Amino acid sequence: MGEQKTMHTDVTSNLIGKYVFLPGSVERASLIAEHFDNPVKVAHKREFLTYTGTLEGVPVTVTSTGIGGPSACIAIEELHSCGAHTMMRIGSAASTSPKVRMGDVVIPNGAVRMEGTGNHYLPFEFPAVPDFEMLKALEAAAVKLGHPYNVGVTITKDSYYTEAEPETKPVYEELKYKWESYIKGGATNTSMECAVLFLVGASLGIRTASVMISATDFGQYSNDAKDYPSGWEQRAIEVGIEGMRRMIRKDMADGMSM
Amino acid sequence: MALDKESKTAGKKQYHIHLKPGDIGKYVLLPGDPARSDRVAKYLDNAEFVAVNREHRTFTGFYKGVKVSVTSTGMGCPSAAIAAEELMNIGAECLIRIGSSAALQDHIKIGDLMISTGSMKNEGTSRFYVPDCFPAVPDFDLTRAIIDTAREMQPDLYGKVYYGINASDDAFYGETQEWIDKLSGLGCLNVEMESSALYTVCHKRKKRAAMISAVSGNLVTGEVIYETANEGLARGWDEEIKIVLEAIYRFEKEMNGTGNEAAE
Repeated sequence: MGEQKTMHTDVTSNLIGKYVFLPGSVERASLIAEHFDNPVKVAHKREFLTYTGTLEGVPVTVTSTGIGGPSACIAIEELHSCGAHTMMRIGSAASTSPKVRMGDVVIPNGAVRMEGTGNHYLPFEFPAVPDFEMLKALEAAAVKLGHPYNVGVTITKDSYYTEAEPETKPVYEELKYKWESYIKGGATNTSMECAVLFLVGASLGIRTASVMISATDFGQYSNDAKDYPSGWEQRAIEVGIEGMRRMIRKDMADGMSM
Repeated sequence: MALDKESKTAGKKQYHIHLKPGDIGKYVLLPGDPARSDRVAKYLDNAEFVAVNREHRTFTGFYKGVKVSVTSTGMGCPSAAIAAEELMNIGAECLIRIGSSAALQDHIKIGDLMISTGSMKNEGTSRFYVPDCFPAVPDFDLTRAIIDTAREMQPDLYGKVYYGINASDDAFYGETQEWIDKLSGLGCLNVEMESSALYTVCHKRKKRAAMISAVSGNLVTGEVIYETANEGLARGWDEEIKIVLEAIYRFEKEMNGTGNEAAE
């Protein structure tokens, strides 16, 4: 009897690699796949578009997660059930610090848990952090490629339209206190999936990390193609691809199963 | 962080859904799955594909002369809240989720239709808008119209129609047996992943929201279908679309001339 396809992502273990990229945007999955050798579209169901190809001769996969922790978590669980053990988000983020400018690559070394999905996996006092080897590989990739980058704390939020205009919301005092405290604590950027990836990855015993492009300058808001050069998205993709190549080469040297 | 996303985006093409004012009707159906936007379009007259970006796929057409749109939200409250906010930025007034859900009571079967009268907030999005103790409830008038319409259509339906409180969860694969027992014991009829944020966001902006969902399986009895096509669920999807479109037509007629403002 053949293996069943996963419920939402519509894949089986023979269709995917153990090294997986997880963009939020469906369209970005295609952009990432263009960097693979021999990419083949293997599934597209709901917000999950999947291509598999190779890097360094080893099968690699990209699956879009959609926006937010709940759908990202579904993709992570299902791809893990098919054997994936190394997962990297390639996404976009907004700056929360003068240290991060529009177009900078951001690599989180930890995530504020301002979201609901991770709580179903690990208690709130457990830290949301990426795999240290992947973090090192991503930083080395950013240095090699020469892109401006920041390694810092990211804020993972469950609500896009309350971060920028908290004063209009009934829970303004709480939002204001939280955002100001995160900024005072030195958090450099915010997006909507990193903490979930790190926490679900930790509970499944797999390696995870994230690399993103900042779509904004600190205190600014991007809503228009003209103030967000979409070509800069390639910076995060290039760093992610190079970082994953480094992980694959390291695993090969260590004799790890591909 | 004193930004004003709402005023910066008003009247423009919206960032995630890629729609601008005029692209949609004031009634918008919200499936989770982009593929189900196409299923809704088949029931509309002169349906036109408008946009797709990320998980948000939109058609606009007419039902008995009423302009109706469908935009998929993707799974989970974070993307559902984004879709709802952006749709309201460009004129949506009645947002009706048409979904799938899993039953939590043993008498409910695959293909039955669940109309929500309230959502338990097991999710992280709505607390960005209101305190945790604030209820997540759909619009009363719109929900009543859907219940009345569904009951009238009941003799022709594949499944039974129920209404009551559902749970909105963030973690599809985080549901342990203890968690399912807890939700069932509290009297939740079914569980899905988007409605409580939808209700909260719409309430905040004084617009109307509602939900009907087709039952995909039963977490208490273990009646689930993963390996083959779920025909009962697919019939439920078609039936909930028919019910909602007819309810919209009746609601529009009922509200016509009385002012179509959501209750303050």
